[in-house]
Amino acid sequence: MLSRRHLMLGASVALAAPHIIRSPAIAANPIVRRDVMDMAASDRFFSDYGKAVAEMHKLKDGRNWSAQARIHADNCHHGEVEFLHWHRNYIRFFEKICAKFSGNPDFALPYWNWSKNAGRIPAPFFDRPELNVEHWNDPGQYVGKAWGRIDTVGRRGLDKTHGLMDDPTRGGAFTLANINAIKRLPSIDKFHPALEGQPHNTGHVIAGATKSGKGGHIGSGLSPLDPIFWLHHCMVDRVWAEWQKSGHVTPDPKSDYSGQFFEADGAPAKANSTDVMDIANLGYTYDIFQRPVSGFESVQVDAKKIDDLKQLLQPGAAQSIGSAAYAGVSRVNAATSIDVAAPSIASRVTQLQALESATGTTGGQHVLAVLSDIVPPEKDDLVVNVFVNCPYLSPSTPASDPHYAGTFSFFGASKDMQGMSGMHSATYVVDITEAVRQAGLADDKVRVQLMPLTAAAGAESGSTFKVGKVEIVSV
Amino acid sequence: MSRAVQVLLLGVAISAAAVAGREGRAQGGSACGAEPREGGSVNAQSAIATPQQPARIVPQDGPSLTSESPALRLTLRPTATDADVPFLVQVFTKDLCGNSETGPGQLLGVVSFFPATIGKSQEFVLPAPAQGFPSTASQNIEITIKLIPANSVRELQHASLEVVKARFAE
Repeated sequence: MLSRRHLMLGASVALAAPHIIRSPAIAANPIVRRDVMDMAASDRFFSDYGKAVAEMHKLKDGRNWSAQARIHADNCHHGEVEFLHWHRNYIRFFEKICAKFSGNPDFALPYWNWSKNAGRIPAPFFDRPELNVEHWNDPGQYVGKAWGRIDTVGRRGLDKTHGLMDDPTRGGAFTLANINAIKRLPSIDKFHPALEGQPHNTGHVIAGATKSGKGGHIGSGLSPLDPIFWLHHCMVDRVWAEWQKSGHVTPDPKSDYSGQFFEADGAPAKANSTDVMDIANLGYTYDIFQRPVSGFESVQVDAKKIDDLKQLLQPGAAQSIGSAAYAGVSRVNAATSIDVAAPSIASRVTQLQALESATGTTGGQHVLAVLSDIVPPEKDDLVVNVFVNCPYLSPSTPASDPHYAGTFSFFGASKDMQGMSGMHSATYVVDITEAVRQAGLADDKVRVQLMPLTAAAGAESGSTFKVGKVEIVSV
Repeated sequence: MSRAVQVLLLGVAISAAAVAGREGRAQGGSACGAEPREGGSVNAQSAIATPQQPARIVPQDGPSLTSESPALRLTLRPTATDADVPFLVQVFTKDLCGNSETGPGQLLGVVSFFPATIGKSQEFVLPAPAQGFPSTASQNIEITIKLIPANSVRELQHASLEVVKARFAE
C-alpha cells in the first residue's frame, strides 16, 4: 500500500495519468441534465420550461399538463423498488414533450440539488408565472387509481426564503452528508427505501405542507401539477444513476408500462422497466458524469497501470496551480469573489482520488487556497467564511452548503493588535478539496469567495480588510 | 512562518487527523450489557407514536454490535392522520450504556410517508451517521420515534403511527 508521503505528487504526474479516468459509456450526443441550483435566473432553461408548461396547458390530449399529472395519480409506484424504474420512464417521456413545445430539441430537465442553498426552490419558480404553481392553480380534486382521493390546491409550503433545510429539525434528509451516506448503502434493499423514504418523500411532504388550509399539489398524487416536481424527481434519478455507476445492482421487475405515458407527438408510448436500467440507453446524462471523474465514481485500474503510476509518484513539496492578485476591499455581509486561473484543478483532485480508490490508499491529495498579502480589519470582530464557485452566495449561506470550504478570522492580526503581536501580514490557508469536488468546476479556473460576517450574530461592523493574493496549491 | 512550512504543517495535520479518526472508530467503546436477545423486534408497550407521546423502542434484532451495521431499518404503519396537516417522523437514537440523559438522544434522520395511507406499512432505512453507530449491542440502543407537523406553524393533533419493526441492518 502506498503511503501518504508517496501520494504527494505534483502536476506532472496528474497530467501524465489521464488513463485512470474511466469515461462513462454514454450514447452519442446525449442531452445533459444540470444542477438547477447553479443556474442563473437568465438561463435559457427557465424560459424554455415556462414556454413548455404554458403550451401543455393548452393541449387537449394526454400531453396536457393536468393529464400528465393524472398519469402519476393513476399509475405511480411507491414503496417498492419499481418506484425507481417507473419514475425514470415518466420524467424522460415528459422531458421529450417539453423539448417539443419549448422549441428546444436539446431541452433537458435539471435536477433540484436539495443539498445546496438550503434546499430552496429556485427563484424563477416563483418569479416566472408559468413556473409558479399558484399562477395556474390547476384543479386538485381527483381520485387516482393508484393514489386514491386527492384534494389539493396550487400552493407551496416553501417560499423563496425558506427551503427544505432551513429548519434543521425537519431537513436532515437533504444534507450532503446524508445523501452521500445513502449513496454508500451497499444493496438495493437498503438504498431504495432510504432514498424514497427520506429525501424523496420528505421533499414532497415539506414542499406541500402549506401554512393554512389544504395541502399543496406537490404533497399529493397530483404533485406533477407543480413544475418543481419534475426537478425533484430528476434529483432522485440522479442519485440512483450515481449509485448504479458505482457498481451497485438494481433488480429489473420486468414490468410493462405501455400506454401509461405519451410520446412527444401525442401517441401512447411503449415503455417498460428493462429499457431504463441504464441511462446510457435513454439519450441523457448528468453533468456530474461529464466532469473529469465524479467524486463518487469507483474506478477500475489494471495492475500494470498502477505499477506505472507508482513509478511516477515522487515525494514533493506543495506545487502552485495558479494565483491571482486582488485589489478590492472586503466588507461585512458582502461577497468578495476572486477568480484564479488554475489549469486542470478538477483533474488534480479527482485523479488522485481515483488512484486512492484503485490502490486502497487513503489520505490523498489536497488542494489549498493560500490567502496572503492581507491588510487586516480594524478590529477582531469578523469571521470570514470561504466558499468555492457558489452562484447563490449570501450572508445566510450555511457552512453545510457543499460550496463551503472553511472559515478564518483575524484574532491577533487586526490593526489594533499589530503592535502586540507583530503580525503585519497574516497568511491563511483553507483546504478547498471537498468544495472543489462538490462545486462542479470547469477544469481551468476556481472562484474563491469570501463572505465576511460579524463574529457576534446580529452585531454591526464597519470593519474592512483586504486579501491581496490568492494562490491555489496542491499538496 | 513561511507559506511552504505553513502548508506542509497543514498537510501533516490533515493526515494525522484522518488517522486519529480511523483509529478512534476502530477501537470504539466496549460493548455494554448482554448480547442481543432473540425474538420480537420492538417493545410492544410503547410502539405507538402520537404527536403528544413519542414511541420509545429498543431493537432486539440485528448484528451483535450496532457499529457493524450500515443502517437502521424501520417498518412504520400510519394508524391515523390529520386532514391537511401532513407529518414528518423524526428518528432519534440514544446509547443507554452509562447515559443518564433524559432526552431522546441524537437525531438520526427524518422520514415521511408519501402517501400516508392508514394501515399500510412502509419500510424506511436510515444510514448510520458519519461517525457510525455506537459500538454496543442493539438492545443498548433506544430509538425514539416522534411525530411533528411538516410545516412548523401547523398543529398536529390526531396523527399516529405504529412501529411495526425496528432492526439494525447487516
